[in-house]
Amino acid sequence: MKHVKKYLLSYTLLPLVIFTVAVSYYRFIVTQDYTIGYEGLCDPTKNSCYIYCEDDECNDPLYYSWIERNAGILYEACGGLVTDCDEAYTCDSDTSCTISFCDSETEECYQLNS
Amino acid sequence: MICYLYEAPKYFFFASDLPQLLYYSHFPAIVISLVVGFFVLLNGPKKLTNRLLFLITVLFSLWVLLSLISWTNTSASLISFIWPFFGVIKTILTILCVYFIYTFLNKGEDVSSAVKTVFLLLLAPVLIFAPTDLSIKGFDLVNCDAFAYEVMYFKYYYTTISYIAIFWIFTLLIKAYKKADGDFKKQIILMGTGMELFLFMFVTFIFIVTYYTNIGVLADSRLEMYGLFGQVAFMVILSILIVKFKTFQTSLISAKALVIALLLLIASQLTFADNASSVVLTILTLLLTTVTGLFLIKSVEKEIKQKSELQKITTQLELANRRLKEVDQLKSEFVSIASHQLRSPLTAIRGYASMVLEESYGKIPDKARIAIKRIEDSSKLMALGIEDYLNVSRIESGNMKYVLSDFNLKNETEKICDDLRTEAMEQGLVLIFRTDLKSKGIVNADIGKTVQIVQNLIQNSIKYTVKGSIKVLVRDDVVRKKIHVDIEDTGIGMSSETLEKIFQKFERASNANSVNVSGTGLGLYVAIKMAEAMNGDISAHSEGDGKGSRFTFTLNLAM
Repeated sequence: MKHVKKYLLSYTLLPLVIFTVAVSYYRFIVTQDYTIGYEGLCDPTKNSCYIYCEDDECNDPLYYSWIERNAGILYEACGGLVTDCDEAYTCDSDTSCTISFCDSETEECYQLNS
Repeated sequence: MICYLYEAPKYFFFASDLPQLLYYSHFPAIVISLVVGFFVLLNGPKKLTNRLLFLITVLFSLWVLLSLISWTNTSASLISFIWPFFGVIKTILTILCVYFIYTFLNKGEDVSSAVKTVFLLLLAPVLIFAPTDLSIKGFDLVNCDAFAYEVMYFKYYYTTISYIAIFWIFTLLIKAYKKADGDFKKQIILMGTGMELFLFMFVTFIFIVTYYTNIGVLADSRLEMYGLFGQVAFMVILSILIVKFKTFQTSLISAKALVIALLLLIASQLTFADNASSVVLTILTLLLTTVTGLFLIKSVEKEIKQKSELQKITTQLELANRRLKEVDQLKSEFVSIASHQLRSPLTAIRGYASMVLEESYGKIPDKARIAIKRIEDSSKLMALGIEDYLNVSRIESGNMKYVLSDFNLKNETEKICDDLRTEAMEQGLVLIFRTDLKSKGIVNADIGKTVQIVQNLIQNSIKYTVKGSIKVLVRDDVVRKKIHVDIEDTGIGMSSETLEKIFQKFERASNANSVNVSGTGLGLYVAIKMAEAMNGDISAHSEGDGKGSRFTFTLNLAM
């Protein structure tokens, strides 16, 4: 009993830490069960787009939407790199996937009037 | 998933598009922490305080290493896996700091089970929720971080625990400081300042920077790097504690650790150096510091060796001194017992010899009278010697009793002179008594002991003077409230070497035996001890062998 009291912290903390590391490893590395967010395609003539400017004059603007989906599903479809994968930019049958466009009421957006 | 906007690192840690400060803040922090932690642990692997400090340094290094990996790497899964552990490690680390402060203040004693349970209860939610959606929900592939997907309640929880730990440590330190004394007070101030500075910088910088990055005010969290410098300051303070106060008892190895840490810090500046002259200057500084460091280690090593030898000698001396005192005490006891045993038969010898000489038992022949007179004289000398031994024994055992009263020192001295004048005249000496007083010459002292001192000094003069005179002068100094009795003779005198030790036990003038062989060498020792006990003093003066002596007995005037 005295021994348990002395090492109370080690006996409870160490298994808890190992559990946390193991579960985290399983979630993030093995199954990749988390949301991944990245820039999607956006046509300013059709949608309200987020805009990114490299300089103050915004000579070469980048219009984009925001895609969020399960990292594991995306990895199965595209492997490690989303930039070379067309499936990465469409949701199709992926129920975890959402594509958000810019909300002009809360953010600065860009949309050409058609 | 790979962060497509960033370059993959070389050798896992090196990316060209990252600020140099990142390496300067991270690498030295890891190495310095680990060096200090390992040195402390190696020096006391079984001490709880050392173990806890080691764990703190390892956890901090792990946090910094994970931070570096998340900065330099582009794998979303790897960074997402690491991300919740920033909170987990920070919480365990701050709680360990509280644990460490507890044991540091209790000199290595472990905390109670109740406190450990509180630690556990605070830590458990962070560990349980870390792998779930309640810590982070996802990962931003564009910015290559998870700030936008952090759950703020999780972040608020572990940050609050960190601040609770900081406050907890503060109250523990204040409480202990009030009770502590001496060097430990200084240690508490240093340890408290170092620990609180480290935790406050670490927790606050990282929380504020990551919070503002999370809400989009800051583009990235590079400012959090400054929060790591608190640990370097803490390590420096720890080194001061180790070197100055021997905390963790690692003075030599901590000097080595300090030098290594310093060298690493300078070497890490090479990551900043962007031209040839900077590189050369840094290398030169490194070389210079290496040489200086080696000298420092050598000198610390030498100092420690000297200190340890000195400590050894001091211990031996203390032991020898204690033994000597014991032996001296035993000797005094032996002398006391032996003297008492001798005195009783001697009184009988003297008494009967005196009665025989007075012809109480009938007429005695002249030849027998001479022999019995010798018996009486020798037993008288022996009785005086025994009285000296007994006095020494009483003085050393603290049993000499002094009954203080006011009396006239001039009158007493004059009486003594009158009594001893016949003895002086028998030896062909003139004993002169004079006074030079502005006061009445009243002193507050033990009259018996005072008479004994003056008698002893005058008798000494008679014994060691072959021809000439003995002058006794009683004079006073009313300003300083002192009265002096000078006994000046034209006797054998003393060399300067003899003068230095004349008041020590069993010491006699080197030429004393040429005049008088009966002295024990204890009379002056007893006299000065008695004088000192009555707030007085005796001093001796002589121009040298054969040039006479002057003894001055001083007491305070009772005015």
